Parts: sequence; C-alpha cells; structure tokens
Amino acid sequence: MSLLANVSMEFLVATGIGWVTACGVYLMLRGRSFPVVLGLTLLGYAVNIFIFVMGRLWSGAPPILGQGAVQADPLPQALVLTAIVIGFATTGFVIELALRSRAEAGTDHVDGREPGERPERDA
Amino acid sequence: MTELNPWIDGLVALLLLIGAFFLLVGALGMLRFRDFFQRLHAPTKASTLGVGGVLIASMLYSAATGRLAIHELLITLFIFITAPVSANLLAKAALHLKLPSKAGHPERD
Amino acid sequence: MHLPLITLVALPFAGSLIAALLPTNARNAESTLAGVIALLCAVQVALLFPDIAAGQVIRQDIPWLPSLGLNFVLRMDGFAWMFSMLVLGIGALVVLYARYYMSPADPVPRFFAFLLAFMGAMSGVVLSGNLFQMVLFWELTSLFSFLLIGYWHHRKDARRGARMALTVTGAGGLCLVAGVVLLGHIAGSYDLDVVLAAGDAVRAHPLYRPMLVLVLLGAFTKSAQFPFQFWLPNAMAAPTPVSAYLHSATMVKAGVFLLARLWPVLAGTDEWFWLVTGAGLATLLVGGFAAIFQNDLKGLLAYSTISHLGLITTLLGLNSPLAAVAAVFHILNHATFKASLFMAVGVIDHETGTRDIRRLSGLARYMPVTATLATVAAAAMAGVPLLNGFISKEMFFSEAVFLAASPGIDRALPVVAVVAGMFSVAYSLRFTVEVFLGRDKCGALPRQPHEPPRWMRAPISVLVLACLVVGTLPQWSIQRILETAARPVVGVLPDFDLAVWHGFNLPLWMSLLSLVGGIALFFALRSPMRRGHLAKAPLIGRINGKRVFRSLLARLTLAGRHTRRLFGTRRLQMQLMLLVLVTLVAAAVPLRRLGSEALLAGGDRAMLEFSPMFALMWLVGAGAAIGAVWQAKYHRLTALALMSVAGLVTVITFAWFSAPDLALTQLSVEAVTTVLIMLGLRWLPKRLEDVGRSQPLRVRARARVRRGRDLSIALCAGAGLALLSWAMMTRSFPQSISPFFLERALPEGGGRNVVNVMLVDFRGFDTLGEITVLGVVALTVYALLRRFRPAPESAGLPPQQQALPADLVTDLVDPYSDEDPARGYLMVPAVLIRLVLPLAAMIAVYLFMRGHNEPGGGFVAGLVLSTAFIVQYVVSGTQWVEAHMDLRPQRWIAFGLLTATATGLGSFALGYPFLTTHTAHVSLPLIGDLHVASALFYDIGVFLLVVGATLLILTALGHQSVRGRRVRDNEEDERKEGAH
Repeated sequence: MSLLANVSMEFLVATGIGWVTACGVYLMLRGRSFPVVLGLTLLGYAVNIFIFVMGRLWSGAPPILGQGAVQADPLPQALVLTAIVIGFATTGFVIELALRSRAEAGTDHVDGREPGERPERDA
Repeated sequence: MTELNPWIDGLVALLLLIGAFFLLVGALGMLRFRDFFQRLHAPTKASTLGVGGVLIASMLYSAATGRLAIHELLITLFIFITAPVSANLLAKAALHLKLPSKAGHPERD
Repeated sequence: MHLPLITLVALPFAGSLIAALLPTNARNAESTLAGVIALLCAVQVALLFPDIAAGQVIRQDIPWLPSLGLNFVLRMDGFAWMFSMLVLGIGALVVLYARYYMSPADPVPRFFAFLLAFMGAMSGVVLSGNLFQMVLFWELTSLFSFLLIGYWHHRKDARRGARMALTVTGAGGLCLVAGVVLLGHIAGSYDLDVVLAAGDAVRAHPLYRPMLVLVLLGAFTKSAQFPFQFWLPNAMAAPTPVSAYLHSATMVKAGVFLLARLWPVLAGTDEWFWLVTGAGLATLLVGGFAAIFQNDLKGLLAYSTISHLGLITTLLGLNSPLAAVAAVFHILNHATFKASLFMAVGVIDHETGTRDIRRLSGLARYMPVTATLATVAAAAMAGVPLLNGFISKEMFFSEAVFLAASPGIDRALPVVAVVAGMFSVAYSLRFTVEVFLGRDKCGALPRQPHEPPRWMRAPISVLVLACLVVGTLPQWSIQRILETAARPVVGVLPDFDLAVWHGFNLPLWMSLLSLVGGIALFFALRSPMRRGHLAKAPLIGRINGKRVFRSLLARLTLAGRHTRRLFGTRRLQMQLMLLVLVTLVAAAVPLRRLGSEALLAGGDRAMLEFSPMFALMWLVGAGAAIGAVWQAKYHRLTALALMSVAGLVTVITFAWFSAPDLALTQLSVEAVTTVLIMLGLRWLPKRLEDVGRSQPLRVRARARVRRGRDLSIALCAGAGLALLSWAMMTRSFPQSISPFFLERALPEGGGRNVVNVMLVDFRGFDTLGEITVLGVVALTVYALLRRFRPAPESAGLPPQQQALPADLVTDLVDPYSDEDPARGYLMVPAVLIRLVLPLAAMIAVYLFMRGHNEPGGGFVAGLVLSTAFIVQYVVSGTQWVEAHMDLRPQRWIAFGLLTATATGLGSFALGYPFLTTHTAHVSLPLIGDLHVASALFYDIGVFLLVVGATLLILTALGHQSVRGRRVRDNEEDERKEGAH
C-alpha cells in the first residue's frame, strides 16, 4: 500500500495522458488509413485532456458560481470545449479524405500506392 | 459517510452486493460460454439485475441522505429500451450468418 | 489653386479601374477616358511650373500610421516635375496613337486599364518622397510592364519576353529593396529630403559600397544596362504603343531616374565612377554595335534605346555637374525622339504588315509625311545639327574631352564617344535609307501601304516638332526647364550655354567625325548585309542573351528539384513520421537544458488524494487504448468500439476533475464520432489476417522492424507528454486572467456558468471564428463528397449480404427500398427511436436554456439534437428519412452564422462595440422573473450551426450508400446489356 500512497491523481492522469498519446501516435504512424483515423482521434483525446489539466486538477469545484467556495480554472475548459467539437469536424474531414483517396488510388494505404509499387513521375 | 439508520445502511449494502453479484455472473458468462447465442444472453443478467440493484441502492441512499433523486429511473428506462433491441439485432445477424450453434439452425427463417 | 499631388497618382489608378469595366470593343470610350485623365494630369503638372521654377518644393504628406511615423509622402521638385511631364505628356500622346493602332479584335479594356495603372505607378515612382514608397511603385511598374508585354498572351514570344522582363526587373527590385534599407539605415530616415541632405555622411559610411552595389543593381536591371540588357529586345513582343511608352520613354528611364535622383547622395566617389561609367560605356558600345545588325525595326530601336541609356548612365557616372545636366537633358531628348520613332515603326507595321528591314524598301513613295517625320526623328537620334539630339551629344562630347580623370580614361573616353557616335549614325541611316529610300519592293508586302489616319500621325508630328524646336531654339524653349530640372540633381548649377553654335571647337569636330565615320560605316556594311552576310552582329551575335537566361533558370529549377528529392519524400507515412520526430526533437532540446530530474521531482502544489476507483477506470481506459492499437489492422470494428471506451474514460475524467460542460460535450461527440467512423468504415477494403500472414518472411521482418521503430517513437512521445503534464500539474499556478472572468461572469455576463459565459460573451469573437470553422469543414466534407462515386468493389453489397442465397425468403429489410423500414424485427427499435426524437428535442432545449447558469449550453444542446436526428437515419435509412423530413443542414449552418453575427451587429446599432451583451430583466405573468441575456440569441446561433454541421458531415457520408447502390445498379444493367 505504501507504493500506492505515492501514487496521486496527478500521477495517474499524467501517465494516462502519456499512454493514450503513445497509442495515438503509434496508430498515426501506420500505413493504412483506418488506423491513422483512430490514431488521430486518440491523440485528440489525449491532447484535450492535456490542455484541460493545464488548469490544474480540482476536485469538486466546477466553474459554476454559487456551487461551492472555490471554482476551477475556467479558461482551459472554455478552450477545450470548442476544441472537442472542432476535433470531431476534422475527424469527419479526415475520413472523407481517406474515402476519396481510397476510391481514386484504389488502395487504402496512406501513401496513395501500395508499398513496393513504383511512384508516379515527379511533377 | 454520514450517519444512516442501520436498517437503511444494511439494505443499501445488500442491494449493492446483489447488483455486484449479477454483474459478476454476467461477465463470467461472457467469458466462459463458447457459443455465440449463449454468450448473447449473459450480459442481459448484468444489465437488468446488476445495474438495477446498484441503481436502486443509489436511489435509496440519496433518499436517506435527504436528496431525493429519481433520475436513476431514467437510466433504467433507457437501458430497457436499448439492450433488448441490440440483442435482437445481434441475434438476427448471427442467424443469417449461420454462426455455429449448439442448438442447430432452424430450417426456415 | 491646383489639385493636390495625390490626384496625379490616384487618378490614373481610378481610371484604370473604370477602364477595366468598360465593354470589350469600346475603343473610343477607353481612349477618351485614358486621354482625358492623362491630359488633365499633364495640365495640372504644367500649371505647377511657375512655383517649381521659383525653387519651391511641393510636398504632400498623407498620414497613414502616425504612431510609426509612416506617412504617404508626395514630393515634387524640378526634376520630378520634368519627369512627370514626360510620363503624363507622352502618355497622352501614346493613348491617342493607341486608339488607332489597336485592332478591333484586341480586348481594349485590358490594354487601357494596364496602361493607366502603369501611368499611375510611374507617377508614383517619380513623385514619391519616401524611399520605400518609391520602391513599392517601382515594383508596380515592373508588374504592369509584365502585364503589358504579355498583352497578346496567345503568342509564345510575348509570354517569354514578359516572363524574362519580370524576372530580371523583379530580381533587381529585390536588390533595390535591400539597398534602400541600407541607405535609410545610413542616412537615418527613409524620407527623401533627409536622405538628399545626408550626402557626405552616406559617402563616408563603411556600408557605402554594398549599398551602392545593391542600388546600382536595381537601377541597371531596370534600365537594361550591361550585363542585364538582354530583356529589352525580348520585350519588343509588346504592342508598339507599349514599346513607345514604356520601353523607350518611361519605364526604362526609371533606372536612370533613380541614379539622377540619388546623384547628390551617392555620386562623387571613385566606386561610383568606375561602376556607373563602366557599365554605361559597355552598354553604349554593345547596344550601338548590335543595333546596326538588327533586321527587325523594333529590335534596332530597342538596341538603340539600350545604347542611349548607356550614354545617359555614362554621363551620370562622370562625377561632373555639367555631365549630370547633360544627362538630364538627354533623358528629355531621348524620350522625345525615341517615342516618335517607335510610333513611326508602329505605323509602318500597321500599314505594311511587316517590320523586317530586309523586306521593306521605298516606302517614302507611299507614306511621304510619315517618312519625313521618321527621318527627322532618326536624324535627331544620330545627332544631326539643328535637332535636339545634336545638342545633348555635343554636351557629351565636350564632357568626354574635358574630363579630368586618370590618363587612360582621359584618352579612351573621347575615342569611345566618337565610336559610339559613328554607330548611332550608322544605324539611323539603316533605319531611314533601307526602309524609306531605294527600290520599290512594296508589291511583295502583305498589305498595300498608304498614309495612316491623320490622328494616328498627330502624336508623331507633335514629338518631332518638339525635337525641331528644341534643336533650333534651345535657349528660348528648353533652357529654363532644364535649369529647373537639373538644379535638384546637381545642387549648384554650373554655367552652361545651350546655344546651337559654339564655334569650331573639339566637340564639333568630334561630331563631324562621327557623322562622316558613321556614313562610311553604313555604306561599307550595306552590301554585305543586303547579300545576307552579317545577319547577326559579329562577335556578340553568338551570345544569345535569351538562351543564357533560360538555361540559367532551367539549371536553378533542376537543382531545386534534386534537393527536394534528396531531402523530402512524397510518402505520407514518411512525412508523418518526420513530423513527429521533429516535434520530439524540438521539445526534447529545452527539456535537456532544464533537466528531466527537476521536472520529475514535482512541484509544491498540494496533490489530490488517491482514489482507487479512478485508478481502476484508468486501467480500463489504458487497456482499451492498447486494445484499439492491437486490433486496429484486422478487426476494425472492435478497435472502434475500444476507442470509444477510451473516449468514455476521458468523459469521466472531465467530470471527475470539475468540468461538467466538457464531460457533456465529449460524451455527445463520442457518440457522433463512433457513428461517423462506422460510416466511413463501410467503404474501406476488407483486411484479411491470413493474407497478412502469408506474405514472405522478408516482408514480414521489415514490417516488424518498422513497427518497432514506430513503437519507440510513440513511447518517447507519450513519455514526453506525460512528463510535461506531470511537471505542470504539480506546480501551482497563479490563475492569470481567470479571476477576471470569475468575478465578472455574474454581474456583467448575467450567468453563473462561467465557461458558458466566457464562450458566448467574454470570448464571443473567438467562438464566432470557431463556429465558422465548423461550418466550413462541414461544407467542405459535403462538397467533396457530393459528386463522389465510391470505389466499384466497395459499391457492391457488403459480404454479409452477399453470402445469402438470392432466393432466400427473408424478413430482412431491403436497405435500398423506399418503404417504411419499420417492419418486422425493426418495428420495435424504429418506434422507440421515433418516440425519442421529440424527447431528445425537449432535452436539447432544456440543456440549451439552462446553459447560462448550469452545465449545458449551445454546443451540447446542438450535439444532442443532431444525435437524435442521426439515430433516425441509422434506424430508418437515408432515403426514408429524407423523404419524410426535409432537413437541409446547409440552411441550419447559414442561419446559425447569421443569427450569431446579427446578435453581434445588433450591439453596433445601439452604439456599442461588436458583440457587447446586455441582460434584460423580464417579468412574465405565469413564469415569473426572467433574466435574459442577449448572449442567448448568440447561443441560438451556435446551437443551429452545430446541428447543421454535424448533420451535414454525417449525412454526406450516409448518402454514399445511396450512390453506391446506383453505381451497383448501373453496373448490373451494363452487365445485362453486355450479356445480350
């Protein structure tokens, strides 16, 4: 239990952010479009939490006046809220790009051609 | 932890234990059954008696501490709407894909 | 009094805009407009002469950024006056000429618009009182010259010539910018008055030499001095009025204008002498020599222009005030006779259809008046007495003789001057004798020549008359103007006498010598050229400037491409990896400096107590993320489900750490994202695990290495971010501007939910931008998918449906039929979902209304409502839903933006800045007191837009299924037809 005593919420959140970031970045570096989409979304989650915790962790202190004595830092929350929604829109855009690339190149590899195929002539 | 009537305390604990037990049963069933159709009905235990027990315990506890809250009922209502429907659709898909089943397949759909 | 100076610059530009809007063949209207503007401005300038001659400098400052000391300064002294007269006067004459020159097939608005714009830009160069401003107008003249040279853009030589001109003058312009920056730095200000007074300080400064080189580069490229002279002959592909205006009288003179303008500041040193005189002499000789051997009339005139510009440059480089006066005089004279010569060539071209000297002969019979005019102008070019060219040539000769410099130059300069004089006589003779005199070859010409219209000849007459008047009566006509113009250049005017006859002195002998020598040269070369030898100038004819230029450009492009291939990559996977690597390195460098141990140790902020429930949740989230990574390649639906689990864990994280609004938003976004990715998943090809396993060992080993490399990069990124967030979270942070918002949310914003008040009130402008982005992305997705045909192999039925035998009697719903899909096993879900829609709408409105004081708001409400709509699509299919509900998400987006902007503008109407809110206290009969902030309407706009954007993105993807079915049906039909 003594080990757990050293582990605080901040530690958990920090490692959680790092973990999800690692998963997201790994998926982003894959060669097929679907894992890239998943990776971007995961990375988006991790970064949103990262920006949010820049306001530091507060327990039981929502930024609503009249509920409690202290309020959490509202500024990062306002920034992240629109970031979440725009992140969704850009996910839609990336999926649409993946679809069109798939249809036009015939393959769902992010390079636009299967590995091993000759590249097109340099423009 | 505020002071509660020991009867209420015991009832809440009992309901929580019942709920947890059925959740465990449901999870075990999902893992252990080898047939899709058997696996399909295991989570139903978890989502009805399991979640129901926990929710009733929560309502009782909040009522006893003075903040009557009945929005847990809404949660139950939504689960009752969605869980059977999704189970039905999953079973339909499995029937058409003719997934292997210990009970054998009906000749006619 | 007189109009302010700004009209001289602004009026041509305004005229240019109007000219661009007139119909295509309105030649009269266009030329009248242009002519009136040019004349008006010219008359304006002429009226200013008495003041300018008295020594006054007219200045107009228009404040632009007073706090930075940046003003728009217009300044007219004597020299600028003379140049303005040149630009505007010759401009008016060229406009008249162009009216008759342009054929009805040419699009006239473009021509006159560019011409007028060029006139305005050139006036700007001449009248600018600030060096940077002058450079701005300088670049504008390059631009408009490019547009005018390429006027006949269907011709390849025009396009090439325009490109070459722009490249050379543009590169020179860049050097000029650098030089001007240095000059302003040395002199202490960019204002021309200050710079002109700082001459001694500039010359003595250590940075004088580089600055001089840069400024000279700018001037030499513009005035086509050696070695940059090759662009001017190639610019002759422009229509002749353009050549007459730009490439003889005004634009190429901009370079020598700059040299003369900065003469008080920069001249007087040895560097100036060697650089300027050297370039000038080289140009003088090369241009003159090449002109003799040209076969194209315009080419001859182009090289002659180059040569005369070299003459002016040489005069300016001699570091003598009298030479500078001669240079100013020659600027004036050369503009006069060269413009008229170009116009005469244009007349010849217009009437006969060719400009080739070898084909033309004996034209004097058919156009006697034009021939006379052209001969007089050519004689002025050659330096024949009683014409203006003679006087300025005499001044040149006398300066060359009486120059006191190093002995070599002393002897060489007069010789060079005489040789150059011979060349100019030779090519002037070639121009007149070969074309106008001689045998009549007019039968072989494309057109039968005759005199041009009277008004087309009029500008030439005016200019030639000026040459005559100045040549015969210089003291009466031009002396006062020359003095006024030259005084700002040289400061103290030297004594000079503009009389025609100075007695039999050395310069006169030199003139006679060059006349005789030139005539002899011409007759010596005449027969060989007639016979076809010497088609190209000997020695220098081999060097094709155009080819050198183009090969230089090609080599640069090749080097660039090579470098790009060496250092870059076209593969997206590689690019993403490089992106991540560079970010890692950029973040690791300061980390290395700070020391990771210091960060790891943590700060002094009190940390939150450990909670085992949160730890369990953390485990679930981490496990889900790992699972998503593991399954992403082959079991994509599983990976998607696991990713949404990770998303739900982030929802709980937000809720746990006091961000209820964020938790709500993330939750609803989670649902929609899952549906979105599933819609996209439908169209991706199936990935089979055993196919992957069956690949050769070498390929699998390489894939494993690649995966290991990506894994290590990902772990580094994750560790770095974790370290950074740990370091931040453990250190306390004084909340910088948040107390401001927390204190003022209720009194000023009228709401208790500080986050929502910030979004729609305090930082409402940000939110406006963000919802615009949202709308734009949604519209982009919609637009890009609108005409999109999905890939043929995905357009078929999904394999699960294909696996069914075709004659199976089933109660499976046909997804592509129009009937109500709420039949059979889908009846229960459909009914339930349809009941949910009004319920969800009510919840959305509830969340929206309470958003100002409790967690909620426009974003969450919008997402909830759009989820309800999406679920209808999921259960009932796209076609049924759209047949029953005309949603039109684009309109939602538009109305949302309109509402939000209108709310902001509403405060304008009441005199407040954009997006100021106001809280009204309304008391309704049954409901009681209401506090309504105007931010409510802003939030309505946000709500509408979020619904519209979400629906648009998802339905755009959903429509692919409908289109897929059509593709499949078409293919089936084609197959059936092919089988028959």
